[in-house]
Amino acid sequence: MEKKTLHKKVPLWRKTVEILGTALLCGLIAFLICHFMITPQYQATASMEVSFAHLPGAFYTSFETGVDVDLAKEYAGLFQLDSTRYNAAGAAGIDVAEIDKNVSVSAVPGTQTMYFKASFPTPEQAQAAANAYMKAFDETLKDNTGYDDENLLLEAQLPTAPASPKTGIVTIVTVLISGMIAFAIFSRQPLFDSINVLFFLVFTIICIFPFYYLFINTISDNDLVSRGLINFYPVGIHFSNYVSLQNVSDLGSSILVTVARTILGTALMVIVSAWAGYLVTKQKMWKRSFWYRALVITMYFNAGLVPWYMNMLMLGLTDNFLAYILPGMVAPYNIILVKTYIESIPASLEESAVIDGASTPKVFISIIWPLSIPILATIAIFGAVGNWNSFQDSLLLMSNKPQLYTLQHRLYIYLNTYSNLGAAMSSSGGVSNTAIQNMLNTKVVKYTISMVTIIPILVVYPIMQRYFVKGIMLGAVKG
Amino acid sequence: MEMNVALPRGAAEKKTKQSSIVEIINRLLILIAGFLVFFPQVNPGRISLKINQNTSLFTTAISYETITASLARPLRMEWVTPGQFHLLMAGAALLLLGIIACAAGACMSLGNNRMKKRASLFPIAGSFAMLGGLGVIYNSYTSVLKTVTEAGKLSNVQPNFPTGIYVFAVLAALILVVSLIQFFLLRTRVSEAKMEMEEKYRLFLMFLPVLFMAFIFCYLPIYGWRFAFFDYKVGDSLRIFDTVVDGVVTEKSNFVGFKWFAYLFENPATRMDLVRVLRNTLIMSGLGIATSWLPIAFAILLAEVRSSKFQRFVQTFTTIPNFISWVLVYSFALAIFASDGFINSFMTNIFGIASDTDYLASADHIWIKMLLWGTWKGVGWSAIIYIAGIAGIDQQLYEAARVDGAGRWQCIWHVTVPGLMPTYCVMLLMSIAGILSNGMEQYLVFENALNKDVIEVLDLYVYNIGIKDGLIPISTVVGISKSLIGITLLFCANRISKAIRGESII
Repeated sequence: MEKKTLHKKVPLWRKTVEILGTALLCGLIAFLICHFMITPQYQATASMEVSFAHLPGAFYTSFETGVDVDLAKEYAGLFQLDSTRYNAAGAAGIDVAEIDKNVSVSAVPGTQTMYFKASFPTPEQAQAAANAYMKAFDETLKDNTGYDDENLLLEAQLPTAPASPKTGIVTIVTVLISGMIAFAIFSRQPLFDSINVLFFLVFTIICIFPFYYLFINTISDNDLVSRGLINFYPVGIHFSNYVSLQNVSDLGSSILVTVARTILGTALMVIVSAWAGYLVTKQKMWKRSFWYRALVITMYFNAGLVPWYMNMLMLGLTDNFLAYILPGMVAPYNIILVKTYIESIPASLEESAVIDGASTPKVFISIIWPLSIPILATIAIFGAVGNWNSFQDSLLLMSNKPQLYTLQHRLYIYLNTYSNLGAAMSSSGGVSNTAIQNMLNTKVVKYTISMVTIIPILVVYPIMQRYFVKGIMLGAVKG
Repeated sequence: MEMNVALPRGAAEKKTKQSSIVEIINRLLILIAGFLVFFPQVNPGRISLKINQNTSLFTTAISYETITASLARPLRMEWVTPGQFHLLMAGAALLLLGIIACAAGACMSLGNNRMKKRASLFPIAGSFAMLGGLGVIYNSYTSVLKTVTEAGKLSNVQPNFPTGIYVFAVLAALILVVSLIQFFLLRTRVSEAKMEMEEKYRLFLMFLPVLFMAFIFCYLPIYGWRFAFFDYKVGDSLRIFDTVVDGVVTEKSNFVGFKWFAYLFENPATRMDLVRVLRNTLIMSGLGIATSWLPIAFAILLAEVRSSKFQRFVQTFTTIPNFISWVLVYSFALAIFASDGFINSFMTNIFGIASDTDYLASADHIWIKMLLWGTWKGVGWSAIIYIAGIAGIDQQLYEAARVDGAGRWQCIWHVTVPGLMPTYCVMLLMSIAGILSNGMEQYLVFENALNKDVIEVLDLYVYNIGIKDGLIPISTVVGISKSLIGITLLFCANRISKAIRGESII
């Protein structure tokens, strides 16, 4: 309250002028950018459907089942032959370099389609290039394979609604106006405060936008998603993606393993940390400070990844669920947290119990444990999130037991496989039939699995927030 | 009166001393036996060379799958029977139980005389159990040898008399002898009415399991450093000496001393790799250190926001990214920056610019990109400690500064920043100490064929050559060097902190 009076109040009329001025200036800049800098590029997608009934048997089979990826690739390669490119360039009346720059071609095994994408300054040019390209391809096919097929369905089409540069202007102006409104709300303050607020607003949006973007893509119409048309708001809301995740193989076991390790690992870690944290507060313990130091030093020193791995191998903890639980049980940092907390509990409480004849475990269970619940909850939450997010131990130790992969590991694998069509085509022989059928939807599948992995964290996050300031502050106090 | 008791007391003291020396020897022996349980080299249960040589006695006792992993065929063909291996497991378990009994005795021997007397019985029983267990293992060995010889498949099963049997037999015998001596030495002692133990030992024993776990998972890996001194390939064994059978060298020693340490620097390929990886590591850590003031700026600016509701809102949502894994960050990165991601579709939909650039594939500006991802994920979280720090600064300081005519910026510069400096110093020193370890998860998920050269940091390099390519010795050498440099840096940082602030950071 007192702070506010220190800054001089800015008159409202001046603020209004400032805001309107900025808005007009931004709008002008946006218009200039749109008008002079951005040349709209029209995208034409030409697809070719091959009627396989007329093709030689072997080709039919391999292409249909999608097993022979190489053949599909070779076919797609016909697009890139010199003859095709020059024919197309000639027909469309453009330079062949333009074609090389703009055209991307690919074949989708199993879907009986090949398509190329090309971007041109005007829709007419795009259409012409697409048509010419298709024709050139047809001829090249004939020249190269001596194979003329009336049933080759060649068709070039423009994208559903080519975006006009006007949209850009409108969007920018809209965004600016809404920004200005936000600006105005806070603008009874000096300019610095407004900018400050705006900065944090933008940063916060950057932080949460990916979560939001992923989410709206998982609940929107899958076709729109795969065409990349969902940007800011969901369209055609449905939740069937989450339901159909049960068809994704291996996901179930991963979820089970991750949940099990999160519950078991966290519970054991909390119990051990509480017990150890309590014991190290005992000055009477034989060589206490030596043992305590030996424990703390492990936070800063480790033997290295490979010796650690060899050690786990020696202990027989590879391909073994226990490897998720046992190493995490003794967590020095958490022990320090608990110790620091217990030291803040009045010693008289414990003393009175000892005088009543309670043993150390009794004191621990009946006095220390209930009193240190806040800190135990803190480390439990952090431990649970750590366990849920664990990826490295699964990657290192479970190489021979895919059914023990954690969820994050599974997600990592999904993200890396079929990350795009090219990757799927280049992975030799390992592409199964179902994988290819799902391929067009891998984007959605990946997003949905990611969401499933995030949701538990988002659920516990509000609870966590209550504790983590306390946790981090206690940690800063040296043990 | 004093003269009278002087002599017996002296004798008693002598006896106590003897007894305590014997006690210590016994504990040491039991400790050794306990450790050897985890060392595959002395596993008495390796009755066939087909059993993985990385199998320790502990694993032998608990995992039937591990011991029979390479024996599927002999089992199927019934050259050996599951019963023989169950017998082996039972023997190993009995041996383990014996050692546990010995250990219990060793723990109890910390108590008073009465307890000590009781305690001395445990190792006696335990060593008998150990010997019994060894007998059972031997039995299973002879039985395997018999059936295999009958089947004529010696080369398929390769029965082996494990030298570990001798080691454990000797240990068991020693423990037995020492325990018996202890037992008789204790007989003359006067017992107390109740079994009791001094509190300091009681507390220690209660703490022992925790120490044991810490030892197994944090200190025992140091034993893995031995791989750096051998010509080791995955699946091979480590031999300091040549194995000589009947004057013929059957297996040559693969002990190579410091060969790999020298190799790391002498071999041009690895040297170049190392330089490249170190460059990446130092640049990424350096960028992290150079931007380590960002959380402070974040916290100070956030504190300047008037509305506490807005503050909470910002804090809530900027902290979330810290709690998701790097795999998920990578998933976000794909969703936003991949060729079919948000940026490209945004450009296409709004501006009509057809674009499908894969921003993640290229190696351009990868260090900056990694820094930005790190900042995106961590800055909100790192700022919390400073936000709390600002809340802890005495308000009177601000008032005093304002009375002296300080404006907003002067208040920040002369009150807030100095107030946060101690915390910042600790953080900075810690990050300097950890300059070589920037973790591998972030770089592993973002790594691809195009950016591998510039993204591979030391931790990732060790993973790539050690775990992926199986070059155990050389990666161990890198790991050892990194650990030693790391701990040296930490102690230096600690020394500096002590010198400047009079407080240690560890």
